[in-house]
Amino acid sequence: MYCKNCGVKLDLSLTKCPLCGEKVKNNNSYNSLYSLDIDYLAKDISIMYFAKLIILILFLSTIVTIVCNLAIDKRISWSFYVIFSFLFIASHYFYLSTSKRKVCFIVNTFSLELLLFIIAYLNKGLNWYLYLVGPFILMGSIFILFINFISKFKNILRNISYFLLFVAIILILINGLISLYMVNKFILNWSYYSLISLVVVASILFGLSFNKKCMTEVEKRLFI
Amino acid sequence: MNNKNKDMTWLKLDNAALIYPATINRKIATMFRFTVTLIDEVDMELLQKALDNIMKRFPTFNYALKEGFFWFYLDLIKDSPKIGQDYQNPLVRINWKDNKNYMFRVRVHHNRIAVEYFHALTDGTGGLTFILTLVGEYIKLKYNINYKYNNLVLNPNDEVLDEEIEDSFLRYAKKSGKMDKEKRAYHIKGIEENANIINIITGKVSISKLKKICTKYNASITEFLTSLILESLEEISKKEINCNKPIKVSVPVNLRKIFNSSTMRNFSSYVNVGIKVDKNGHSFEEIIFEVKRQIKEMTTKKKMTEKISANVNLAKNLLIRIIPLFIKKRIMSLVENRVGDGYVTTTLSNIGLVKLPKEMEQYITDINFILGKSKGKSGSISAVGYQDTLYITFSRKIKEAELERLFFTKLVKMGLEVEIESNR
Repeated sequence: MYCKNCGVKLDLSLTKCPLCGEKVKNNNSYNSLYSLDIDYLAKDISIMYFAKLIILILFLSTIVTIVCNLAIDKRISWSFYVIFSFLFIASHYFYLSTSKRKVCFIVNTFSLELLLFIIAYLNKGLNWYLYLVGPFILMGSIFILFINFISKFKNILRNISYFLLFVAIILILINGLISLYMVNKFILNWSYYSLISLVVVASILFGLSFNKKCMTEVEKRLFI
Repeated sequence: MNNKNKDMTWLKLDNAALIYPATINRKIATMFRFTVTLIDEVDMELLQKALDNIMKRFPTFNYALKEGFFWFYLDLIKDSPKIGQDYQNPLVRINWKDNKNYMFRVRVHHNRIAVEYFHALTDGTGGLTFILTLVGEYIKLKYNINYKYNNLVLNPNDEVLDEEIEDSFLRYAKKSGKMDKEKRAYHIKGIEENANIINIITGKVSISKLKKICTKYNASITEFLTSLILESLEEISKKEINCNKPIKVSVPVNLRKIFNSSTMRNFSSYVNVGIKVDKNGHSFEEIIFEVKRQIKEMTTKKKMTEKISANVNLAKNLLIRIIPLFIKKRIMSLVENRVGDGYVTTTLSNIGLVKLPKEMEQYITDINFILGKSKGKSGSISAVGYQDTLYITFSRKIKEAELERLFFTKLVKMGLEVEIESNR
């Protein structure tokens, strides 16, 4: 089959001349050269692209909030919350942009602390923040970092004993901080019992961890 | 030195490949594709086996593109590539994750085997050698024949030479180099298609008949095609008011033919051949004279050495090296838009005549070569010869096929029979 305009011979699968668009009658409309299925560009949206988009949208809405706030109150009052919440969310961008998870974790802990501090400060609740929320979040993050750190050692029993000791220290701190908040004094009462029992168990495990036979038995049953 | 002693868990990109990863965006990556059509329906399982067999012969194909702090690098993949189905719109940007991080993909549609490459992996010659070795191994498994291996169909059991994995640019670059100064070129305007769509038109022409016409003008096939494209482009540009930019066609040059190298990585450069537009236009003889002169002048060993030396020295520049990649790649992308695509109207990549072992030829009916989209150009042109047929393929991202129409009708008017295939 030839195209009467262009003079070129057309493949049997073509129903029109791809050069000039002239329609031709072809009996064989089956295209053996190219599939009928269509390929699409990367199906999954890039996470980075998505994150940038969300941050941009939030940034714009934050600006709008500030403008509204200024228009109504003639000063920045309640939009402080929005600004700092935006900064907090934007700091999560670190999680995506780098592969250094630990650095991201620390950055995010501090941005969370900062956000809560500002909320507490604006609400005149610094007491509540300084003795309870701030230290508790800090302890929680240190605890996670500590577990991450000890998980690199292979000796399971020794790891458990370190873990128990750390728990004991945290319990003491919790006990002290609560009393500091309630009665303005660092008093320990119930944490003595947990300290003693945990230290005893931890030291037994620590001792056993040097026993090779015992270790293999434990490893056999407890490997992750 | 034996390559087994070297640390091959990661590689640096070769000098020509440096630019390609930087210019990737969500829609476009510089890609090209070879297809081989067989006489029978392709057996996917057997082809997968053939692919597994030849992978060790092409060690540089087993790498993924990764970002370092200062440069991209290639990271060894501990997996094997999988064959997939082919689509109507080939050369859609590779999604690394879907492709197991491989920078090439093998696709099958009925009788046709296609391999699509990201340009940072290899150039046309490397890509052609890979697909022909794959097809050769497949034919060997399926039809149980033996043939004599050549430079395009490699023996998968042969030892990999050090030379095949080297960056030949570094070997031939001298201390001082020079880049030619160029002007921005004319670009074809048109309505851009959806990002997924690429319009492909292949024209099949008899090589012996075309050669007769070429000898009339005392030109090679590449010179003749370039001139015909320039003539068609001049006609298009004349329709625009106040178009005074020159029309230029970028012609890739296989450096393996100028320097001694058998690398499977990039080792090609290009020359930009063009004419200035004037009101009276040029006759075809004038254009062909100008094209021959320019190609002869620019493809000398001296000129090419200067060009690759300039590129290599640029990449060795300490100031450029210490810029972090996230800044560097944006700069490179801008430069490529201005310098790479900005200086040329289109590209004509002629891979030449493919010579296969005779025993293999009886199972292969067609070979085709297609270039993918690029950011700055409306389309590209590629050519490959097999037996007595020259496959001239136009791929474009715009709706209008004016260049194609002018080009092929000119061939018809010269008395050649042109058979047209298309994906649309």
